[in-house]
Amino acid sequence: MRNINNLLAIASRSEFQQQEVTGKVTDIQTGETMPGVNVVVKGTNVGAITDGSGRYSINVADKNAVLVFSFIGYGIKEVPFAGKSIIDVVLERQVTGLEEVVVVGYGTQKKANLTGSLSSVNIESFQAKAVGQNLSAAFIGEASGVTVRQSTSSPGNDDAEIRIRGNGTFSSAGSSPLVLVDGIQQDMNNVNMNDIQSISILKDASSAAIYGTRAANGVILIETKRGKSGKMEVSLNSYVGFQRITEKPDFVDSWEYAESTNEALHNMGLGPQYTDEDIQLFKSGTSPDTHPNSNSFETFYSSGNPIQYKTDLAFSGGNENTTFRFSLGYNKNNSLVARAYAEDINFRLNVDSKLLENLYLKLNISGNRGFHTNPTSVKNGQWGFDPLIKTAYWYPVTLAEKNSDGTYNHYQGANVQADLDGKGYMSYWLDNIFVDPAIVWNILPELKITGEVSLTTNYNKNKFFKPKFTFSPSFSTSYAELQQQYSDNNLLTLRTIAEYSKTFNKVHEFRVLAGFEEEDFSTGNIHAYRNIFPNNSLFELNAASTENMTNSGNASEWAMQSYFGRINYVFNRKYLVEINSRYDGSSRFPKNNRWGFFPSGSLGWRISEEEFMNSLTSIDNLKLRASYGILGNSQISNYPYQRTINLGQDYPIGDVLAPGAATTVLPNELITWEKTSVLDIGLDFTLFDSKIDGSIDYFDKVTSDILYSISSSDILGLTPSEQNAGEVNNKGWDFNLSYQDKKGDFSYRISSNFSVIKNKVVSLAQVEKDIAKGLFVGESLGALYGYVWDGWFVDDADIQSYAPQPFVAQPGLPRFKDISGPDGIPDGVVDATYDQKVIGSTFPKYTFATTISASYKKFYISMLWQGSAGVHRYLRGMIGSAFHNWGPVQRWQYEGRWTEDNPDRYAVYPRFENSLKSIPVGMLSTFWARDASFLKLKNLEIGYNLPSTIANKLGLGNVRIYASGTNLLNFDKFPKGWDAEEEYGDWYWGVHYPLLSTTVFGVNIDF
Amino acid sequence: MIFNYTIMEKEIKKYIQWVIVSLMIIFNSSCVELDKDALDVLSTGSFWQNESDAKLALVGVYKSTGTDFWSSTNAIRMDAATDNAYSKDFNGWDDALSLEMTPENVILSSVWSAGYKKIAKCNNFLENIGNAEMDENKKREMIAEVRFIRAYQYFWLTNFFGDIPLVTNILDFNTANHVTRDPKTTIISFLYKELSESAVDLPTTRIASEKGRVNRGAALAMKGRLQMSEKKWSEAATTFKTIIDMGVFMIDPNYQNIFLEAGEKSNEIILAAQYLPTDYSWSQKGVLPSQYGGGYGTIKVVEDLVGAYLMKDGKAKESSPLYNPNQPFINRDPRLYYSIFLPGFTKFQGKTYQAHPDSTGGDQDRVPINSSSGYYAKKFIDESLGAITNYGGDIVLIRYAEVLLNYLESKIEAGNTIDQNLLDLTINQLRLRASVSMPIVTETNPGLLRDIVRRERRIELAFEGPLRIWDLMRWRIAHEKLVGKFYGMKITNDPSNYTKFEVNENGNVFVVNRIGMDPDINYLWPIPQSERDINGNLTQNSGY
Repeated sequence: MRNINNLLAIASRSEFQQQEVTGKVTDIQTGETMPGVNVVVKGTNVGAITDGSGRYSINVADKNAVLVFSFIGYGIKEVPFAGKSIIDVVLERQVTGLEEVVVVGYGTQKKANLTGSLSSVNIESFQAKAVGQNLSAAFIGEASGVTVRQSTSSPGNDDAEIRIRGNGTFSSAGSSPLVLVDGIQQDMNNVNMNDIQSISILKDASSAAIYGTRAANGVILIETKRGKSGKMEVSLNSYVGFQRITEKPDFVDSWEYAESTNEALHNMGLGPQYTDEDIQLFKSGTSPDTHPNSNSFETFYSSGNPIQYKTDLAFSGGNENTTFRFSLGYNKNNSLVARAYAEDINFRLNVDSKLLENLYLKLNISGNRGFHTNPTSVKNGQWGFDPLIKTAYWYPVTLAEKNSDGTYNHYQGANVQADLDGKGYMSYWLDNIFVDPAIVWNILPELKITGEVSLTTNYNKNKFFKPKFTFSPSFSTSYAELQQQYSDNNLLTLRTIAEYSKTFNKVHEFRVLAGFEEEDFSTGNIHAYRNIFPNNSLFELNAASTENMTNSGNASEWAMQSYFGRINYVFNRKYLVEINSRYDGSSRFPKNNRWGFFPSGSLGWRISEEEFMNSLTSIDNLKLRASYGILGNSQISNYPYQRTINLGQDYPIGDVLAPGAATTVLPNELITWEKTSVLDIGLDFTLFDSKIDGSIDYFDKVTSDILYSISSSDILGLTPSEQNAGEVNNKGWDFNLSYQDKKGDFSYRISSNFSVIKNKVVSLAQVEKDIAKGLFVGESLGALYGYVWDGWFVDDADIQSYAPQPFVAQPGLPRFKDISGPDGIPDGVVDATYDQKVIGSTFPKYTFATTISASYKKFYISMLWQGSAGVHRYLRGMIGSAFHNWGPVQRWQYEGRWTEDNPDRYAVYPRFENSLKSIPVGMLSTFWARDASFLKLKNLEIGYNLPSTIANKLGLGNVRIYASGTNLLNFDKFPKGWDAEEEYGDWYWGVHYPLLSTTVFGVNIDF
Repeated sequence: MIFNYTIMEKEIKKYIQWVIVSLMIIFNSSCVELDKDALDVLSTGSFWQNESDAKLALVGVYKSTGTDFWSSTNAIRMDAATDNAYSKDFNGWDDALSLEMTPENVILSSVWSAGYKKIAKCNNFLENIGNAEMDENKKREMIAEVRFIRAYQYFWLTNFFGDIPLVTNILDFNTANHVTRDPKTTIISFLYKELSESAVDLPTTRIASEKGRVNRGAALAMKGRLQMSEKKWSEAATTFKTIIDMGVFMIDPNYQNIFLEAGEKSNEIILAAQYLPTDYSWSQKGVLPSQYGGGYGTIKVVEDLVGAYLMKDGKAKESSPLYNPNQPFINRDPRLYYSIFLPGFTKFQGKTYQAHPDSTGGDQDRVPINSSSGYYAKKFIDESLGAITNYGGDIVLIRYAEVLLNYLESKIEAGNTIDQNLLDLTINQLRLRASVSMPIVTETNPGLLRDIVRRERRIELAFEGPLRIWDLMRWRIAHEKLVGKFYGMKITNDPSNYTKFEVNENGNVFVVNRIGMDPDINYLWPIPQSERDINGNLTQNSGY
């Protein structure tokens, strides 16, 4: 190291005398100064950015230097230094982004030369949208073919699910895209949004194939910002946000609930629970202890103070040899619920240093400590936030939460008020450390070698504690309990890449890349439990009794080796060829099936560059491209091919727990890669001086050899491992279109994307359908399967004259259609085998988003509308069913139910019964499979840029103040209180912490 | 100076470039190993070598697969399918013998699944045990144990489902998805063979360190149950007599204790599912009324059972002078007190159990709110521990009292002469238990004795797993018993003027109306629809 330091000292001393250049950058059309313009001394790392008044200052060390000015959406301008001390330039708005450079796998590429289907995210609008929400959720509406769904705003668990061009597979390998942050696989939520420089979404085989076996679901590349030399830039971003619940279910009052209960009991052949006197008392409200009108939902969701804060501070600067960017961020997100919040502290240091004339060091270090906590139920043995959420919906309106004497009631041991007062908690600490040094060696001007080592380590600690809680003198929980868990994940990545680029005879541009990469991952955890504490204020393991203590732990590993390469060839700026391939070996597969080869190729034709197009001046750019390739998916369990015997199958023998072992999994010794081939044909166009910009893509994506645990008969007695046994096809169209214009001080942009995806299961192992997993050949993934509802039975005569049902038919119960029989024709009887069919799909066929933004002088406004159609979801659990495990009744059910006095064939709800029994009211049918199309005003932002004259007086650069809101309006066909977009997955309860609307007020200041 | 720097720079350059080149080579020299073995499980290659492996696997076979009939899960709860109790709860057994039974019933598929999982474990053991090098006697004994465990599962599966696939070896998943049903008669002959042969190789007694492992008595008792199901009464009687003559089992003077952790080592217990506190436990909380630590009271007992317990004088309450309708619980067969929570009467954890319609306290049962009948099961519940979730009491599967009653029933049904000696050997041993001390039975008329024995079984064996269901099915009286209105505790002394809730003529509160069953259909359960969805070769029982 000493040598290098000396060397740097020598290098700087040996430099030529420097000269400062200053100047101003203005827009040629408007004449306004342009802040944020990049100024770089060509061929060096020396750079600067114009300040709020469009001014810059840069040190030039070479007489022959050339200054390069660039700004997104504007043409790049190169100005020779020629010894001048003031250089003012004007920039011209240009054909959108053609000269823009986008990040591709293991490198960058000029957008004009792209042949694959890649969406480059507009970072400014993305960051504006990310305000106040989880980073993954900001992908909503960002690009065609990218479906994003966020189901909860629960702090710490508010990740959105991202799908690129449909669900490619139904295996455990999953449909989540690969996310690489600065080239290393990471959780995107560990990245502070203000640190992001660029995001690329690779959608087709051509662009993603270089990531081989993990690219089948597409790839998201996130690059973080790097430093620029020159005056140190400091920027501050800060906001405060307020959350509110948008959808509240409307539960009936206690007297209505009591009446309904009696009605349901009567319908089930049981005696009533409430007398007329009871119902009167509920109504009068005179006995709040015995006859209350409780509302646990309000108790729960109004206990917190849902404010969020975020502050980020970034410094960037350096000299011509070393540049850096350092950022610090902090955010806290309180929830609607008391004692539930998430916070995160993060930092990132990116350093670029020139070690020698042709040798560079690139160092990325980042880390964050995430913490989130929530109250847990005081009930012994029951952990988690979900039980509280459940109770908030489920606790009877007819039972007081707390009596006037201060004692608590409980419903089967549950009471949200007690849980909140009980101070039991579940806390999670997540520490992530990421260190990634790379050495870049420019052996020749055309040849560059990069060697990189990166270490990603996550340490997780969970601590769950619940006190002994006294509900009343006669009822308390048995003891205090503590669970603690430690785990760590370690990923080591070693990578060497060689790149060669050269242009021959001015028309043959070649770029070649070859690389080798290894990854080694290990994880392990330790878990301990004790109970019976001396009091509620001690909660460390040693404070508890050893009597019931338990511990456990496990570990696993995987590793990969990969060779990959890419060749780009451009002829005469018109004809583009790209070939990508990767050869991957994974420890998850047996030796003889371990390696997989994943090639792809693509072609592009820049039609607009042809001479015959010269006359068509309205066409700025027109490019036709096509690609085909094969990708893989291997995100499965770590040892699927190994025949193993599970330990821990213990059983008491002689009153001692004797160790036992058993085979519980049937391994698949022939397991191999899941393969996805993608054909993509696309057309890019830019028209009328860049006013119109768009692209159309057709894709046909076939995933075969899907790793899939086929539903096996219970007679097998074992859990079968995944087999390579299925094929899924996603076919569709992606459309992107934007229009922008400017009239004086007013400019606006409308940008829309629209996707149509036809998802289809092509084949399953040896079967035509796997009902348990919702898989049917010829149908979409996530198919809903059930009976065809034909109203409710109205009376006994109706029952007699209608086909017999697969349950004891009674008036007010469903009438299912006889649609088939053993001979393929209706047989007069409705039964499970012949009269159920696919009645909908949970995967949306159409998704669309439109962003409308406008600016007038210093003001701007932007909004995002987003929606999907051609999708169904079941109303399940407490969402759809009244009396779900004697749970709540919603007003729409109460008011629209079938009764003997209202024997409506198509009443909005069947007769009341406890529907926990799946039969017959809850039997899945077209009645419960609802159209889940929706349209949302997902985001609205208004902002104001302080005039530079004022800002400068305050000693500031750019100052922007803004207000932003998410989830503002929602149009769907679901009952009040429920959002059609959300996945109410839990069959049993079906409720979770809702998606909230957030309103944020913030400021960005550049010093 | 400049010259010197240049030389130095050149040298350093060279040096660094060599470092880089070596680094690249290191990167390329694959320090990552792609052969990764699972870290916390055993691999089959190294298993099945010796006795300790065999023992590990044997214990693995014993371990519960969930909702099979060898676990706490179905103990107590199964009586919700009978005239003893009801549950009206999710996963309840209420519909097991009713018109409401459908192929989608979740109880059904969970019982099927857990049973076949256990059978697969047994098959796996039996197929591999041959590889282990160990003492041949011990091996033979282990094989007999596992064959018994498999037969035990098949016995109950065929009892409820009739024809079922008879699987005796390890299947691959394709075969498993295409099996067909074997006739019940095939299963029965298989079971005779398995139980007879395993009985020979099993020890008559188990030493303390082997408590919980199967013994000969268990194999014979199951064989006897099978003969009773098949109405082979003389053979059944012989089988049960063999157990009696073994002389290793005896009636425990303390009835209550047999079902508690304290009485686990009782000589009356022939076979029990083993439990330990915390490490291998079950939840008492599910059974207890909410008054005690927030129990869920999932099994609600009906008056029909409470009323079936005799008076202290050995007479039914209807004909005994000891019966006082205003104090219905005094002077009853003590087994009532051990088995059922009686409102206003049972003292538990120092508090009198309370339930009534006017209850105001949140913890006291307000009959009939939450479908409560006011009565809850108390057998198997350890008073000293209360509503804990980590209880370690064993669940009795077969006990000597049942063997004696089985013997007596077989003798009656076989048409053998009944004498006082036989009664004293069997039913009267139960009556004379120190903790019960009821008047002895002297009735020798088989017709009259049959009713006495049937009532005695219901009382003695209440809440003991599938026994009440089995009896209702064997006697084919389920369709007569399981229909119409059932009542809970008495809530008024003036039923005719009582209007708050529906009550019967005795003032007992109406709790549940059973829809009844079709005797031609519902004595067999349907094959689970989830299985038929996967395997088209599985036919359905008629009527479903």
